[in-house]
Amino acid sequence: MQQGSGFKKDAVQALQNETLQAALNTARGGFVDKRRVAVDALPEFDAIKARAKAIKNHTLDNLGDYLQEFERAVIASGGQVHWAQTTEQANQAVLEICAQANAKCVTKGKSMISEEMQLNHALENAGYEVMETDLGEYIIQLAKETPSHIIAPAVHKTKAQVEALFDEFHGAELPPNRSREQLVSEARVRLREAFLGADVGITGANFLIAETGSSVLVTNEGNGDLTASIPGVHIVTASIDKVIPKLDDLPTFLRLLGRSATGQELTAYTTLFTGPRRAEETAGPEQFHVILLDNGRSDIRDSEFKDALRCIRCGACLNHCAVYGAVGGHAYNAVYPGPIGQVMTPLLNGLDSSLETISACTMNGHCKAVCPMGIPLPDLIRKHRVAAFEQNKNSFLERKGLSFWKSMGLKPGVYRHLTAMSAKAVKLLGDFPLLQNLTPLLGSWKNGRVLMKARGKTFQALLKAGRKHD
Amino acid sequence: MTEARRQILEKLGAVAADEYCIPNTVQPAFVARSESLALLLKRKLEAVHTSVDIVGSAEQVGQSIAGFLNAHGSPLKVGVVPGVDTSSIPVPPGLDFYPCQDMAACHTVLTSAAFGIAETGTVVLPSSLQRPTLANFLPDNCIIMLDEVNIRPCMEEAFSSVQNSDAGMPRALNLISGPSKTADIEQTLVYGAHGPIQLHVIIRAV
Ligand code: SF4
Repeated sequence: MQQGSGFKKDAVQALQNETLQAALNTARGGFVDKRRVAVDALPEFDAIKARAKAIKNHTLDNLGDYLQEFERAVIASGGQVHWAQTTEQANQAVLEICAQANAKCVTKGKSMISEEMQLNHALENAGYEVMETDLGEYIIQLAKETPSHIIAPAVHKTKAQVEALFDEFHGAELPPNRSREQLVSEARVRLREAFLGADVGITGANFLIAETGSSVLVTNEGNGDLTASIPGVHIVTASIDKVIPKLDDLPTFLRLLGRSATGQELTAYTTLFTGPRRAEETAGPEQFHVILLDNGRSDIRDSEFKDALRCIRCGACLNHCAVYGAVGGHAYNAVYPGPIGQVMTPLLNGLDSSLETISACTMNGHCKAVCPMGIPLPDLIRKHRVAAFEQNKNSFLERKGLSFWKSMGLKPGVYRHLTAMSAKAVKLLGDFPLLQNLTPLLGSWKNGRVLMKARGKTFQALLKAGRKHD
Repeated sequence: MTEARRQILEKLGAVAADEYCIPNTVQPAFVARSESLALLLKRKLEAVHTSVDIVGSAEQVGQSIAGFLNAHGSPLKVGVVPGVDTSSIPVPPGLDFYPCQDMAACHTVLTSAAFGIAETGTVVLPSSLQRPTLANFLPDNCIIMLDEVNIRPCMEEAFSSVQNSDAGMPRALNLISGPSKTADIEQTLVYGAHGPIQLHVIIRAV
């Protein structure tokens, strides 16, 4: 299926999938509450946000310069930079490095850019053994699935499902109903073998620092460090928008990232990788490569969607999205789900395949409010909708509906009249539940929702009446 | 590759580079209000499942190590990285230090941090021959020593201390705030995902 398409069908399936709904329910509250506590505890949060936004805007305006500064610093530290306009070029660069290193086994840390590249496919097709080492990525690799969340790839899986997968792949006689601790330690043993036997380690980067040529990796498991520091070759896959000017800028972003993502001040491990092992060192990779992927971002930089390139992939917009919370990440059928995905997918894969995805937004503005980089997500999604309408991409019915809505907007008198009538109708439905079964479309709407008893008057009417009372 | 580079840079254009002038004035005020940097660091680390002792003498270092290992029922054998000199640490009975070569075979390791960050409850370990980075990730128990004088209030100061050190930026600069953990199974925290299951920090106030 074309990336980005099929949202409607998949969303309906997701809503009916009880296991998925259970997993989503577990996740939802956790992220939101933890973020709020962490953000509330830092009164300077908004000021830090403002600075981070200013730094990113400045960097994007001067992106070419900072990328070249980064390149010079990487080379000075003994590393190499490979530029790629397309994901094919990026995969090609990785494959060439692996071939030169005579590699067989490749370990990987979590990287959304490598998902964009579909790097695992490319590596496996070329005959390499690839092992994902982030526990969540490992789980979905066993399940042959894609991540459903940008920071919690296996958030859609229940413990029972994980246990079943491990039964299948870890073999031997495993007792039933194992604890989470037991499952984690099984994976730990498995992955430890992979780490120690790897020839090439591939990680993503949360940030690239132009001044020092460092690539910054944030994890809680420490898998990124084992991936990067055991094999003889370390490859970083990163997109060009990851660069920030100075080492002194990093704390500003780190203060936002952990809090927004998981409610942590800092994740357990934050590592800055700069070049290969030093001359006197006896451990660490002998080669350090950075793949700089564009994949359309240089065009986005000069478009009305530039703001989206400030994203630090914290996942807060997903965690606070009503639609994501209801259907999970897979329904989006794209690398990036949720609000940031609704902005990025049409840009990465074209508007045609994303029409259903961009319509799945209630415009409630939660994502924009929690985004630490001040990205106006609903406004950007609306821009896609406007473009789709202008380019005549919507269905006939949708266009008619929108035209009708527009004409109502232009005739407030008629609009008031019609809403007053529908308010009465809703009251009637509430008072006589039997009527509900006779109303077209209401049946499927009521799946998972309750029709409240209505008062039969519009808000405007009540307001007016209230004013008269005063 | 060079063609891709040329095209990307051409698209991005050499825009009239506007000067970088974004002063870093916002830093969390709670650090300045705190009891002392060592106590703040201790409190923050303890909040993320790490045991911390602040010690005033060399004897207490040995006791702190033995106490930590006993608390976790671990053997009193400690692999030591090249950069740590244990000769000045009086060894309590039963405790055994040995120079550690193979980190994958080491159960408990003793290493040292160059700096601490009070703001975030973090120890900072630049990699080198003396301080191999894998010591921080392969052993089940990781013991890290830190001198109180090297605790910095915030991340910015720790970074600039690293940058201005003789060695400059190391290959791997590890900022460690707690033991390895994962919440990838049903958002429930489990410690010891890949790296150390237990982390112990000894702050030397001498
Ligand atoms: S758009 Fe904002 S909230 Fe969403 S992932 Fe990016 S930075 Fe986080």
